[in-house]
Amino acid sequence: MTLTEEFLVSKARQISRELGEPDWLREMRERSARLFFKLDMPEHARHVKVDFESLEYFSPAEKAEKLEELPQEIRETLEALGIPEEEMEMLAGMQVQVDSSIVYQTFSDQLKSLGVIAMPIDRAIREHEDLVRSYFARLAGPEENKILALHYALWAGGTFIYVPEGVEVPFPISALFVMRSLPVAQADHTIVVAEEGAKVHYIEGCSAPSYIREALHYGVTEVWAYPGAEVRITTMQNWANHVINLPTKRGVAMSRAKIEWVESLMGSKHTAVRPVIHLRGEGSSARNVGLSFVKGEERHDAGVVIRHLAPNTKSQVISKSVAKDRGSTNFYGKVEIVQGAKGSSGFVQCDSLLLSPEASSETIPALRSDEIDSELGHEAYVGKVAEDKLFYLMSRGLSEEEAITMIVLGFFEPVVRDIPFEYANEIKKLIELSIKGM
Amino acid sequence: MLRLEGLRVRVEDREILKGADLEVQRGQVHLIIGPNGSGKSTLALAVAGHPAYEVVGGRIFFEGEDITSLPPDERARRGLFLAFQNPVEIEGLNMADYLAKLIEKRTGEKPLTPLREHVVEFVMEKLGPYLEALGFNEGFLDREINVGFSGGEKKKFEILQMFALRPKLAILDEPDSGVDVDSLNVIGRLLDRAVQEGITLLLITHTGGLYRHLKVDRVHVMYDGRIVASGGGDLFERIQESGFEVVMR
Ligand SMILES: Nc1ncnc2c1ncn2[C@@H]1O[C@H](COP(=O)(O)OP(=O)(O)OP(=O)(O)O)[C@@H](O)[C@H]1O
Ligand SMILES: [Mg+2]
Repeated sequence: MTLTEEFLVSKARQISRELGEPDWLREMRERSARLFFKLDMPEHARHVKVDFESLEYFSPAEKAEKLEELPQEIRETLEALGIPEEEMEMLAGMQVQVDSSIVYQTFSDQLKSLGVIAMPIDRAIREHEDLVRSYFARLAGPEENKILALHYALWAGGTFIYVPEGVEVPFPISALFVMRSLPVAQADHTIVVAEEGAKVHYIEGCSAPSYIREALHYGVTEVWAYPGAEVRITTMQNWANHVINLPTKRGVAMSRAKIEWVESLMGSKHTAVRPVIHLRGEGSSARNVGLSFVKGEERHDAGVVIRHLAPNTKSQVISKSVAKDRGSTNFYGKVEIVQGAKGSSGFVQCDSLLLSPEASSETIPALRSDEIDSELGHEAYVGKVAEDKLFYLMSRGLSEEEAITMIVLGFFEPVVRDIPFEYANEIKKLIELSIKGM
Repeated sequence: MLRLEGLRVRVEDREILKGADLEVQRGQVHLIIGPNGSGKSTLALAVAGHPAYEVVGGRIFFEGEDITSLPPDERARRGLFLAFQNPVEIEGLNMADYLAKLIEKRTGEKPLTPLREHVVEFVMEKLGPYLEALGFNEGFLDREINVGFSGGEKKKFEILQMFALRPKLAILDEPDSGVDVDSLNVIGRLLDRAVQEGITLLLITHTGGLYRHLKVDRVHVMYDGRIVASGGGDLFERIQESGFEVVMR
């Protein structure tokens, strides 16, 4: 099949029709479908090869009322995220998206009584159209690059979270994304808005079973933190080694607002991601923590861009990555302080561990400040080879898998320690599962 | 118990062991001595199965079976233990969790729950007297493996692990270097007890510090990648007195 403009535009229309979308969305989809053919890959993903022609762009899945009604394969994939079923039921406000559809959702009544909107985004568009519209595609637009154009042409599913002024959501809101059919392209769109003084923790888990041949994940997440708001996002991804992962993540923090992004990324054939956070208001802050693990021929090109646009803003970037076999993990940390952002500071710390001599790792810091009254720091410990550590533990009778798990968990420990216990546990389990899958 | 036949080992394209022969009988205490760089640690690491120490000739037998190509964890499971001359640090790996895991490997028993207090309780129950004898207080169990340990503490931690695992054969690579005199006596007594409990010892050393505590059955001299002389305890004493010259003639 060749991917023609007619095909893509009609596909965009079809999705819009099936979802019963308003005109402005359909028009954006059509426009984006055309842009796809004119635009280049995002700069940080120029070298990623995607076979756009072979992918299935919209594949609706059966809905379920209860978790037990989900097909076995999906439940297994959810378990691959390290979340046992009993716990999944407890995770408040959960939704499960399979390929292009939300198949399961339970957003607790407590959220509703607080005035919090947390629902699949297509439903939010039906029920709160103006609200969604005022945030949709504001931080990342289709005209930026080929992947975003494709996203805005074909996106389906995702979460919309809106927390009203002063409301603190007492438990994390979670969503799980699963890929099932093959080959598939999943383009979820998530928006998190925290009004003044609001607090919210959103957890998303993404997984694809290993039998998927070729798949593309190109979701978009847009985060708004209004004055004094605190938004925390924890992303746990466990991708099979045929998934190409090209998500777009954007966040903006107003005065005194905090955005914290914790991302644990296991696997995928190739991931290229460059979240961008703008510290727009005075006294705002961002913390970006990335844990990554690659094996086989997998490759991660991760990174983050933080722009300090106001005085007294703070940012902290921590990246910890482990590469095994011939895996390659690279991190690009760009922090910019503009002139006038007095009293601001940014700190980037990258640390990587190589479990075999063929594994590789590179860190590229790009720190720039145009303001004299500011501070930028960078620390990198790249490419510590762990062969002797591995041998030490194996000589004590631990299997290779046990030894690697201990070394990797130990390496991630300083970061995981800061994460609330139950989520830290999920991340640990995820790492263990990912190592098991070697 | 352990037999090396013409063991040749290459490290980073250089042949370090050039045909080492050695036999250690069950229940005995053997010493390996030899000049710096003669290949003692190389021998120990190769016997334990370090992947960077490539066996290019000869064979290693443990309890009559050829273990030359077994992975290190399998050798350990068969009852082989190595106390490292230079133990590595493992950041973020908690002592209590680690020791509990070693005990579990040997006995199949586990702490009640993975909660820290239960793990500590379990480790104290199994290893309490050894921890105490070696001067490790409970606070040590909260630390990370070898991270920030003094030279002597690292050595003592290796001994502690030997008691956690209770191997059949323990190769101890300079457990006495960098250790203060009181600790040396403690290690000496503990090793003597280990021997009485049936652990065979192959001890690499430069000093007489432990010799005094142990009934040494045999002494081997390593020189330029080979065992060039073997003898009884008197050989060790002669060399201590007059240097390696005595066996070089
Ligand atoms: N991993 C390695 N990489 C490079 N060279 C090595 C390595 N291990 C050992 N060697 C070399 O092999 C030779 C023997 O080293 P080994 O550590 O076995 O000596 P040793 O007899 O234990 O010495 P010492 O008494 O000083 O501990 C030395 O020249 C050493 O530099
Ligand atoms: Mg040595």
